[in-house]
Amino acid sequence: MNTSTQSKPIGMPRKDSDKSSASTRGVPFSMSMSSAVWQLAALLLGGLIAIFLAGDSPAQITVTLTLIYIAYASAWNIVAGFAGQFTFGHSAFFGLGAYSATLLTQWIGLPPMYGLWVGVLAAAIAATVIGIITLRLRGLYFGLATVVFPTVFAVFATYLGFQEVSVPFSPDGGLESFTPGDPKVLSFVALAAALLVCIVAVALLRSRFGTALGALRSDQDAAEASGVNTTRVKIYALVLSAALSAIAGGLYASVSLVVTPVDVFGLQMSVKPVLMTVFGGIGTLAGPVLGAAILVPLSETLNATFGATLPSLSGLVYGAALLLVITLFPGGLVPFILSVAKRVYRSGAPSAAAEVAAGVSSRSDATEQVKGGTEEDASHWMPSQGRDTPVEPGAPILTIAQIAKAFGGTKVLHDVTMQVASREIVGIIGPNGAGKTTLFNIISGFVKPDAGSMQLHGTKTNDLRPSAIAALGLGRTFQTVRLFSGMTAIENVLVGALASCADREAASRVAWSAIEEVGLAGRALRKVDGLTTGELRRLELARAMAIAGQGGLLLLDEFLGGLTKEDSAALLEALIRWRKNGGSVLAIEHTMRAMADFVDRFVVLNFGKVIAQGSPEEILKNQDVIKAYLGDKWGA
Amino acid sequence: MVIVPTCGLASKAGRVRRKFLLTAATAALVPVMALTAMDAVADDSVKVAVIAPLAGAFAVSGQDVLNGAKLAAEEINAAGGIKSLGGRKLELLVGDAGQSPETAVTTARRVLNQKPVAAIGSWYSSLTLAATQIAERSRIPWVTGSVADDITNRGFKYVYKISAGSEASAQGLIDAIKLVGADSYRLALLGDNNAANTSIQAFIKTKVDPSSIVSEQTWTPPLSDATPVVNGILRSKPDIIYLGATSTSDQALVLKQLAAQGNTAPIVMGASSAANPTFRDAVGSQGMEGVIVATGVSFPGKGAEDINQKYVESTKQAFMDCEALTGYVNIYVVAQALEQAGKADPAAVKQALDDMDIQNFHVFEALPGGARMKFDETGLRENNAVEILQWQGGQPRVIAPADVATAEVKKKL
Amino acid sequence: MRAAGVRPNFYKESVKDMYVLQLVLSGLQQGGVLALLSMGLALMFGVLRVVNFAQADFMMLGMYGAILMYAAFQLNFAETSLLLVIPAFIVGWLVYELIIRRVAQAKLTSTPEHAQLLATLGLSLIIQNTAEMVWGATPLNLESSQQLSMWHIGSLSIDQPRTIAFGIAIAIGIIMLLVLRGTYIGRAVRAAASDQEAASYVGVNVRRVYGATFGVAVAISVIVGSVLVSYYPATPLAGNDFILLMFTAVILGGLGNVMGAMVGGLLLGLIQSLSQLFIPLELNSAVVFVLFLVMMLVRPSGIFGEVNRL
Repeated sequence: MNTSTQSKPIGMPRKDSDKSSASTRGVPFSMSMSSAVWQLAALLLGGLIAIFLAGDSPAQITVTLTLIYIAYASAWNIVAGFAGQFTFGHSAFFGLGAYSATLLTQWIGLPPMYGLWVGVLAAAIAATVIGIITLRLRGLYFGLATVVFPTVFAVFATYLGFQEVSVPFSPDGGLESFTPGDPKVLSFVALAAALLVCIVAVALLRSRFGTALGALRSDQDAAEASGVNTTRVKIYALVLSAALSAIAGGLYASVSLVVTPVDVFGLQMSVKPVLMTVFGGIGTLAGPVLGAAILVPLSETLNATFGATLPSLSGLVYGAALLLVITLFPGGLVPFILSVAKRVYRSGAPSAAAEVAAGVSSRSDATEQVKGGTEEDASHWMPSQGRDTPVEPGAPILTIAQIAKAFGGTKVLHDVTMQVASREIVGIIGPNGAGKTTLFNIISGFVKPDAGSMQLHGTKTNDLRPSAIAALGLGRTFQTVRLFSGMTAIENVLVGALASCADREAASRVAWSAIEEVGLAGRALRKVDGLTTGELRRLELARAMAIAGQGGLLLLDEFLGGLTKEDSAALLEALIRWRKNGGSVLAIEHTMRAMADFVDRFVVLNFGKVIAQGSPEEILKNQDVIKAYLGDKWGA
Repeated sequence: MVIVPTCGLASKAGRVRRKFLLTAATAALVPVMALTAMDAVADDSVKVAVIAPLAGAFAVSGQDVLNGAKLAAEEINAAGGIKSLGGRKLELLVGDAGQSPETAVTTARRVLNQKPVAAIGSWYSSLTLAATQIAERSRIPWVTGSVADDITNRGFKYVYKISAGSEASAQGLIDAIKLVGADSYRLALLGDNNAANTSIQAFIKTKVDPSSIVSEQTWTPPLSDATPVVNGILRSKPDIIYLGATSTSDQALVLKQLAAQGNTAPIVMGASSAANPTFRDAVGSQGMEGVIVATGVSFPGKGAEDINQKYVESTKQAFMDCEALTGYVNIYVVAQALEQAGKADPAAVKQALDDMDIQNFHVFEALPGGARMKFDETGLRENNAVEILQWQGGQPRVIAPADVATAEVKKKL
Repeated sequence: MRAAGVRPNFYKESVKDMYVLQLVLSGLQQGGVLALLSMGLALMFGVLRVVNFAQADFMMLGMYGAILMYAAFQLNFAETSLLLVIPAFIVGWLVYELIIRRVAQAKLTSTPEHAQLLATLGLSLIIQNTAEMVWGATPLNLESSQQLSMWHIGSLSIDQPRTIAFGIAIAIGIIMLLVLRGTYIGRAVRAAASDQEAASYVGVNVRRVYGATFGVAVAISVIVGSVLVSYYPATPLAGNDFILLMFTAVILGGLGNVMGAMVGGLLLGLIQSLSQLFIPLELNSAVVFVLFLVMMLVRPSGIFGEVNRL
């Protein structure tokens, strides 16, 4: 795909099908289609080979189990690896699948192949409830909380009398009974399940939902500020993962032949997918597959050979494998293998390309030619975020009235009233502790004010969550740069663009425009982990621009920190262009000097109160301001 | 500024191909590794599997099943093996059923893979229910002394049971309770959630006046703390306590706790493991005095004195218990079936068991019900009966039924 | 007809027949042991931010240690505890040096503690399964006395071994709290917990403090095990009975808060015991976990508040 050196303004409505010469570059997916197809094919082929080699021998059970665990581990990987939500309670869903399939067969004779789907439904419902209950917990707390659920299920299953449910034996049943005479059949079904889970995973990675997952995994708050409704994303991921786990559970019942709470709802069963996925490589597609494919046959074989004398050998192997992986190569087996392969088969590709971690990323979808900086071109720009009616210059974009906030007993903001108009750059200054960042957090929705009201683009935002506010056209940066590690620069910006673009194509256009605005188009395909501080700040600005869209509001929190003079100048020019194109900026800085040249107006905060507003000249002469910064002695 | 496209495709495809091969290779390893786990069996003995809990909470009982089985096998081999097979000897394939249904299934799979002609076990009903799933699917006949009714009412064709079922056991318990108590009584039920026990308790509740049940406690074995259970029971001041635990350590714990908290109500136990010699040490002969056991699994009574003698000599235990007798009898059942079948083949053994109708065989006289070994179409031995035992003088004695009884009941001491 | 259940005049009846008091006693006894175990866990989390899944398994090793010592040398649990303290401490320190330190920097997910948690999970599996291979799964008891030793006060039965275990647990717990508050070592530990860097600036050898803390926590677990086995059968998976309860107790009291863990453990024992008044025995553990969940949602920082306040 080529780009032109000329581009015309894209104009305002975001859904326009402007096929002009403006950026039509795509943003590469974190998983390329060819890579995905190869891996799925490998799974299919490997599975078929295993099934036929095992034939009718007792080894077939091992093959079935391996495939079941491949499905289970891959399902867990969706919520833990892709979304970054480490759960230790997945056996809740696995067990629901196992029990549903078996109980329904016992009660109404429904063959497991159909009963299994009831389990899927049950698991989805359970996951929704569990997600809602636990969603506000983070990290470690979340992980520990999830352990509780399968335990409670187990207690109730025992209490209700289901402590050992036998899988009925129907020797004349067909395929749907999962107990046909030929043991290969169940393996085929398990292979289908494993493929299903992996295909879903691929589809996920290649969707905008997948991009949101990556952002969530990396930095939840930054994702929220970039327009990702993290609550919804978390729950969706959990529900999807749960439903797929239930399928694995339903199949498992037909292998274990007896379903007990200790087995299917137990901590061991929750830990197994964790083990296998971490061993193989968390967050990758091949990780859980490889992890299960190695560990399950290993432990089953050890059991079969030494089980009579050393029954716990398989557990030992699992534990040792986990410990080894964590201490030696915590990323897992797949990244380790790939890094070894990279060293052995040094291909001369730039190191950035070789950073492809764990087969997830690819660049073959990337376009070849990337246009350079467009400092001069002020006319091409991005679609606005659904604001179809043009805003007159001077009309207020952001209105804050009488905002007050106290933390504990300390009042941090008193009665703050101000506004930012369209095509205006406003600077908020004040000594440390004046409440500037708190104000930002309130405006962007991370903190709820105790009193007062806010309006953005005409919509009241007091009760909106950060992602909703972002979608209205507000992009912010943070005091310490918070970008999504593990993703490329352009993908980071893409997350923001997806906040309000209808599809990936439109979002890609927006993303490329933004990244060109800050002059980073040349580094767009690098992973952010390889960028310099200056580049990171510029990138964060590009992301904020993509979120806000044309005519939107940028909230910049000390964005000039750590920049060289050249970088600062370039960024300030970008902001001036932003203003020219209809946008506004509200920026926090410590000192006036940096901003005096380009802001239209200052707002001075001290001890949570607005003590002055006005043009830079006015502010410089204001007695209250001088006193605030330098102390009473200096006042006139 | 133009970035040269990375040699993405070339090296990428190479990487992917390598991953592809790795995955396929690993997948192919699966069956290879599993296959190596099978050993080839090729010698002249006839293999019979014994799958019983040998480690874990029920090890005491499972071990005794194995002891009995071994004694029987030795005797048979010493007497010339299976005559109709030309004197081939019996060999026992031993498997540990563990303490959970999952381990029973895994062990059964592993052991039955070695193609024995028949299998016996696993004493604990939950384990038997699980393991027989494999037997039925592998079409290998299985003879058991477990009690749960479900064992024979699943419609399985390869499972044979010599003991009485849960409903009969419940009735036997009611009879036992009547033996020691008055006609109206306050009954407390406690026990674990083993398949056999839960069904027995359910049957008891249908056979007595509901108002006479004053307390009920159930736990998942193994039990580590009997205090809450006993607290709950004693506060309802029962006249009679039914203890349906199956693991000997659970039973000992509860018995000791009951004694320590001053219980005076007579105790009736429903699991055959309650007649195990281990209680002489765990609780003491004094502590066990008067405890009644009602079980569908037979204890060596009248007519089995010589068997008991041989067992005591070879194992040095104080007496032969139900578990051992089960193992002993079941091996003889299999042996007799082999004699009839004339072929060392599971299908033939199954047929022989279906057709079996043996009377006047000395070993089978140890069982109540007229020494006749015949199975009905569900696999249940006809004429099975519940035995009522009572601990007297440091060892259980058979009180009922009359054809195997060796003592009279001693009422409230 | 069940005798238990919610009755309107429950208060009157219960006072009459001392049942509730009996339950309270049993609850406290079990809670005491749980308290000490949880304090070890809280210490580890408070100082090192390590969630040690293997904590209860060290307790299990203590149980077997006591059995071995008794079988070989006829030592009672007090003597065994003293004997095992030093080796346990060393083992704990080694685990820290060889495993925990190595994985401290591993960035597996956006939550840094996950790597260490998984490492201890692996360790737990290894310990449990090795124990099963060595000693088998059959429960072992310390000494099979035919009668339980009990004190009787009125209609109350107070089990001796449990009470002794309770007493020891509380005593050790109190000592630990006193050390943490009052001594230099204690202050060093709290400093290292609060701010690793700052502590090193004031001369605290943080690495040694971490190693020692781990050693102490493991030693505590082992002592608990050797005391517990006087009435609780030893099995390789004995730890599993406790680990979830321990986590619940720690969260109840405040993750990282050692005194909170002690209170949490006692509270949990009481709750488990008293819940018998209202719900069947089998649902007992469900109560605990529902409580845990409620706690996480309503006040995740626990009754006493989180870390940095040992």
